Amino acid sequence: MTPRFLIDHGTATLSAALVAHLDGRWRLIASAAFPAGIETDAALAFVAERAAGLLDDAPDLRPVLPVLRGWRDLERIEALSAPPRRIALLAPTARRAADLEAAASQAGWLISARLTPERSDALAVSVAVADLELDALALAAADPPRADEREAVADLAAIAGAVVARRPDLVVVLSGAAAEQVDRFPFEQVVLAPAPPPLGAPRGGSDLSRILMALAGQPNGARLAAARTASTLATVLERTVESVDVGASGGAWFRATPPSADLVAGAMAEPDAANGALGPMATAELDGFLLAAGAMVPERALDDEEDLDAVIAWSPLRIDRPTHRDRLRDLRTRPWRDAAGDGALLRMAAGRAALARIEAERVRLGGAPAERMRAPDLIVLAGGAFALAPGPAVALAAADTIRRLGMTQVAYDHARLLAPLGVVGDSERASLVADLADDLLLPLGSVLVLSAGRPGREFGTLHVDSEWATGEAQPLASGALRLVELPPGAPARVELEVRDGRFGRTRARRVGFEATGGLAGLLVDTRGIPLRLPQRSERRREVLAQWQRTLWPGAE
Amino acid sequence: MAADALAGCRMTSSTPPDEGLFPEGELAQEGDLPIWLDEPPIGLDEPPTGPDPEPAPVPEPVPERRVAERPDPDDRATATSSAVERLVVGRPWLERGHRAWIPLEPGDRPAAAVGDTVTPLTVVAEHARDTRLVSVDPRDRDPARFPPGSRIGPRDARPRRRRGSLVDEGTVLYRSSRTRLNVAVGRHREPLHARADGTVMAVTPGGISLLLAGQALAGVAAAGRAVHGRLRIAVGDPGDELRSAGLHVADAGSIVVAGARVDVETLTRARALGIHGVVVGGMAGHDLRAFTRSQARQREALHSLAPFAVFVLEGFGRRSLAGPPWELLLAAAGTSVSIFPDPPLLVFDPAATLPQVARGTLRITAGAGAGTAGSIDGPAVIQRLEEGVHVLAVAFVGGGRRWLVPLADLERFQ
Repeated sequence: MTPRFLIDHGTATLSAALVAHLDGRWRLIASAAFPAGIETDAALAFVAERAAGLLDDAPDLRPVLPVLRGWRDLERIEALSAPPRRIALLAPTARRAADLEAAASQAGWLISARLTPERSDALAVSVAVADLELDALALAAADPPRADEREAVADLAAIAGAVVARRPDLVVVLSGAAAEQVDRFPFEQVVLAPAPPPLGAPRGGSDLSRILMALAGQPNGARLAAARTASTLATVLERTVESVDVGASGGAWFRATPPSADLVAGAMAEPDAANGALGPMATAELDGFLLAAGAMVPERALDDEEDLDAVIAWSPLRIDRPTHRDRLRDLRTRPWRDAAGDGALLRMAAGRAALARIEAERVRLGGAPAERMRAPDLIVLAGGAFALAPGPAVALAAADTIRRLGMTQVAYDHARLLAPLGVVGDSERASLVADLADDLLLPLGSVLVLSAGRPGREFGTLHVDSEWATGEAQPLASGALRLVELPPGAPARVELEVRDGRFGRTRARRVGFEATGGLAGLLVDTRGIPLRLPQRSERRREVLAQWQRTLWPGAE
Repeated sequence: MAADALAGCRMTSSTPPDEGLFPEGELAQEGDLPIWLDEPPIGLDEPPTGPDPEPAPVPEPVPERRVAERPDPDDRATATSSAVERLVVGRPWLERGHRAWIPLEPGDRPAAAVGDTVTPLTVVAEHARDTRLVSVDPRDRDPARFPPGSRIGPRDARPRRRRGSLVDEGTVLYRSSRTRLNVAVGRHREPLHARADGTVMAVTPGGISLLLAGQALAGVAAAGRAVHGRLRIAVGDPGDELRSAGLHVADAGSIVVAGARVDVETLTRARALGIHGVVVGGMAGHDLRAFTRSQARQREALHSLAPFAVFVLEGFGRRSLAGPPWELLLAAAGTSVSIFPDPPLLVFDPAATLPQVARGTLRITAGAGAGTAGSIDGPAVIQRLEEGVHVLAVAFVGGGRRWLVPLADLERFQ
């Protein structure tokens, strides 16, 4: 099997990797990331040359060398993330608008306006619908409509229909009972969809959001492709995987739960006739969402300083607020620039803020609060926001924001392979993921998150048993972040003894975990769930810098 | 195999410890990890200053061998200079064929049709100010008679006993029933000009799309309304900041180049003096927002001022115009230019002779030496900088000096 390029065309960066089939399995040979907008061939030439340089030193890899000379002819598997499309939301009541907004935002749409008769007059609605940057509008009502909705929906449809008739490029989604107004719109521009489920319904995904996701062009997009690979990873590894992606134009959160052992056994007994791999019954359960506001610096932040200030709240930089905001605006408009020095810290702060935003949105969309969420076996971070930062700092960013009670391994999609792998067919992907699993993810470390009341209180002891740790039991105090050295790949057994006999909602005096090392080692985090930071900006900066100092020594 | 290698972390009660993500022994295998992890930390020759916008000081000269010594000997990812230049992100420079929008609001009446050729002073629409909505029962109740966007006058409406009857001509916004048209009526009307030579490509309820005839330069942001005027350089140096005292009454009707930064007070004074627009390298975001709000208030005023716009070329904060932008603006001084806010464009006269930037000219856009033009002098290598980040960097020669620059901080004029 000849080598092939895996290419992730992001909105800010282009990432290219070369994989080859060697010694009976696929291996990652080389990868690199570049600013988006350069010629793909220039990037591939660089990666091929880099690979050739590496292969010189590895005799067992030399068979690939002649093939690399003709790198232009190698197969290319490409994933593309496009900027989110814009949608205006119209609903008869504020409550229905909130339901509709939840469905649209988790499908990756950028919400340009949220209009209800209670808050917007006909002129305002007309201006918003005529917005030249708009790609679609959605009008929703309950099904069947409530008494107070029927008349308002007809009015909104009349206003929108007058504009849509002169905008043939606009897609109209009529959701629920709004479908009754279909006659007011050109037939070829209308998509009928079910009513939006109530905001915060237990299952985030809905038929409406799936339709909206398809209309947004997301099924072929890089973020959903990466989620598919995360799902395959969960199946292959039989581990629960959470993947969080933060890019320049949006973000995503997905959780893949492996199928039960019975299902896998059944599927293995009767492989899929078509592809010879595990049947569809054996695929992982995937739950999650795409989020335009999950971008490193969301677009709305250009006008909304609250969003910028939310990023600044994570920044350890000592510069004045207006300059801070301007640098973040620049990060939005030219996300690949200024990656060194202060720019690296600012980028990391933006990445952290985005992770926090995604986590908040997960709960708003009906997910369990972090303190009641079971820790996944593996958290996979992806996206350009973390591409340049040192691994330990990225692990800390994950620990700061994605807080799950218990032990979790954290890894990073360093070569940006998840998205291109998500483009290939299921069986081929399963085979590639199984082969590449060791190369696919960069192990950042393990994080043990504990919640134990007021800061400073000693609540138990911790015993780490590994080749590198001391092996002595150490007292555990709440409100602290402790680093235990554990090299990448090194296994450790961690035993926790809690005085009050409670671990989360479980009654247990002694709890054991397996941990796996990474660039950051093992982080024992007793800072509580959720993480509380000082309100005063100066104190907050000190605390953030103090935590970061250990894991990012060159940052100051 | 992978199922064994990737352990993840899980609470254990009875299962024995599993192997790690990267089992011992496999970790050091080449190809398993990104090769830059093994490289020694290498710092930039000058500490980066961020996108500081002040014409960033060019670093002190360094011996050429310093760069040559630093690249990791293990990293053999090399390429010729021309191949490396292709890894630098391109910056579209002067281009023809840009499209710009002239936004329309409810009640505005387009006066141009698709295919029309326009000049800066062609009236393309009539803008209705202080718009309100009036419900009208038309005499002719045929739904095809008054489609959205059509005109309707008092004679076309049935008289109404109560208040709100149509006394002026208005524009049909939408029809809510057979007997009820909702008409946008403005108290005042004013012409909207094309502001540039071009061709009308589309007329929609939201705006008129123009295919511009002249070459245009894309900017980072713009605010205000489309304007045109004669270009005048109001600062002596591309790194200067224009203050309100630097404006003159004689500048009325022109578009002034304000250097590296302008504040909202200067913009307000410029607008009051009758200046049509300002071109600037950078502007604080909060000033831009304050100006946008001020413009909106002006539009609502009974006697609104002439259109005014600001065009930001490089970024937010203070940004020097040094290099090709400054040379271009100097060459275009005295000719007619236009500013379009949507998208942010600075459009030059189609007949103007403008200096061409040599294709492939490189310039530093951020960090130390921002604004310096020059060339690449060596291969692209992945470097670990002092602060621990890994970037693709190149040796750069410009202004008689040579230093190491992250590839992403360069731009290549196309």
